[in-house]
Amino acid sequence: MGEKADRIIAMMENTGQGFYSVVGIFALLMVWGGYAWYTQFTVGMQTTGLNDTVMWGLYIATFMFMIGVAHAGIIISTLIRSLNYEKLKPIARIAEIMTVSGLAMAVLSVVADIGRPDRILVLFINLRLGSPLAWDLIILSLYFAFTLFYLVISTKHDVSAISDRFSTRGIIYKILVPIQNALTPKDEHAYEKMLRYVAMIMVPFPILDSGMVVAFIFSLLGARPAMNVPYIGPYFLLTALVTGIASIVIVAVILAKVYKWEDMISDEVFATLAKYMQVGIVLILYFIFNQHFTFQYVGKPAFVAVSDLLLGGGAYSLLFWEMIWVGFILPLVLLFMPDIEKEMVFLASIFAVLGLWVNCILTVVPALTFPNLPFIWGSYAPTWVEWSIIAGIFGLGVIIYAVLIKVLPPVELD
Amino acid sequence: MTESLNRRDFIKVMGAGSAYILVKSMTPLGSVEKILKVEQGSETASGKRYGMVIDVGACIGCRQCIYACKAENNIPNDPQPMQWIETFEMDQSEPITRVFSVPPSNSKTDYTDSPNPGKWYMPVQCVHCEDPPCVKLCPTGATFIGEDGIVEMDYDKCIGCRQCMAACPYNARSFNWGKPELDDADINPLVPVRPNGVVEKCTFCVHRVREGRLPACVEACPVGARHFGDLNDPDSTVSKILDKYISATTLEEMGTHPKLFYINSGNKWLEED
Repeated sequence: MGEKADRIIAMMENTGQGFYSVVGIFALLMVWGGYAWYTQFTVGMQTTGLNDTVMWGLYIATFMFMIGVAHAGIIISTLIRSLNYEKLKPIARIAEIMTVSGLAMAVLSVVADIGRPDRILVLFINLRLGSPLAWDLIILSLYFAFTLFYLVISTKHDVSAISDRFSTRGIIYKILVPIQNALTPKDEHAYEKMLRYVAMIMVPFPILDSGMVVAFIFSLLGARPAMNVPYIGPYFLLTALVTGIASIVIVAVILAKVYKWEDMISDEVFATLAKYMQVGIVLILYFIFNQHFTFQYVGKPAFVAVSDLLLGGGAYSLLFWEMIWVGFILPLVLLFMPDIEKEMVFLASIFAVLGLWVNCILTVVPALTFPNLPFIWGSYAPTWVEWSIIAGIFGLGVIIYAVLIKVLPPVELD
Repeated sequence: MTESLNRRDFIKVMGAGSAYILVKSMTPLGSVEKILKVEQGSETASGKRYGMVIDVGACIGCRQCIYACKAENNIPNDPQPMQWIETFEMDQSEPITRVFSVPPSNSKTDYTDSPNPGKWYMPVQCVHCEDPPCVKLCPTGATFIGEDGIVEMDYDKCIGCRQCMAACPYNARSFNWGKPELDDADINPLVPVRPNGVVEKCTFCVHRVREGRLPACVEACPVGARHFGDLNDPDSTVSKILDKYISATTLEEMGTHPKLFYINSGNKWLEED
């Protein structure tokens, strides 16, 4: 093993003050979120800003968003394996670990939204296969299972190389190594082939998730204008993929800076990701334009009403135009700057991620405020409970990530 | 080497097995349809198909139906006021069909006295669709079509995901945002008191109608604007009324086929003054 591997192992071995304080801060967030969730569970969901008209809000929007974050691993491994982007290899593991923590955050966001999380067993016993929620449950479980499986088998060499270097953590490796050996063939050629096949099986998952089952939760609501439209699937897929890429950039830049891996994760990696983000954001703007142009020109009254909420001085227009300018156009300008450096891609990704999250909120909330019968229009403002639970879920996601990069080498050792 | 061959065989068997199950579950196509479609039509298990007719020409907007419904069905005021029925005061210039497609600006629910000149009144509630989107989307079957076509709730199965509320075009469903607070003396023992975190809605007073009684709102209406009965029975009150008058259902374009019909038996109420 070379000098590079020694540096990675050193990073795993030497856990400094900085790491503990970061984990500590996010652990505090998590505890705070746990307290908020306890309040919500005991007092009831009256503690949230949700109501009988706008019955979904921040939680469901964050679920949509986190599914996008969870696509990180698949995007990178697809680019590496199908397009032979070997130079992206150093960030493959970083992205795969993000999938685990992204999926955990997505699932928790849904659990936070459910009125009776104590009845989760009731859901499994009585699951109706005709419900889109059941499809989500099945597809996301498969996604999670495949992600964990791939992470376990793809770290075989790395784990066996470091398993005797750690004492406390060694217990994990003592369990992990036999599992890895049992699951994978000994023959190196067959092992590589297996990795390739499992990665290939996972390629369609973003389409199945964001592009289908997650979108179906919204697009199958015949009652809701601007949701019950066929393009929701492709649009969700697109926003989820851009979310995935932008979040890898953020995490990879932070790790490269903190652990001084700038020589391993080259600027070329970020330049490549920046190109995909450019295309993605342009396509998002194209979708948004076409959607509102159609609604405004010939849309049904309900569609026009929802479109007006966003475009023309409605309750959500400030947020909408902030999303367009700060969330999409500003990052696009930053990404198109000549000789782009990774700091700039990082900044663009931060803005884009915020814009994409707002986009999820604006997909869920305005369409729900529209009453079909002459009820008054719904309104929604998240409460401290909702913000705290979301912050807590984010804290847990960061902690899962931080622990995993100390257990599994975040950059392949070979 | 033998080990990897065994594994290969194992994967082959697993693959063939799952392919078989997949194909088996998809053919004939009817079984897929069974999963995706909610089976309903004019045929029901008991042969009965309950429906309601509301005469907007008679309704005076007195809200007696709302009060009777709340008392009958243990609907709480605390922690948040809840109603299964709502009445709108509509502007006389507003035609009934437009009301059902675009929210008119002049309608309101917070009127204090009624009837008012130049206004007409429209009560809304769960319309008990023949093809209810709520039943279609519910992940646990907590909401289902009963033996007589009534869309019912099983409060023990509801996980509170609110998918049904998002699916309902009629805003007919209410969520228990907290534990309902009711005086023990006021509780009707025939109707379950709901727990915190589940969805509820109008049941057409299923506990009454299956014993041959009328729903509480129909009984309470002082002007006889509400009629209830079996739509499959040509001699029932509702069938006869629907034969005689032109009727409308709300949001027909949603394809839900409501069993709550609106008629106008004469002048809108105040025009007679």
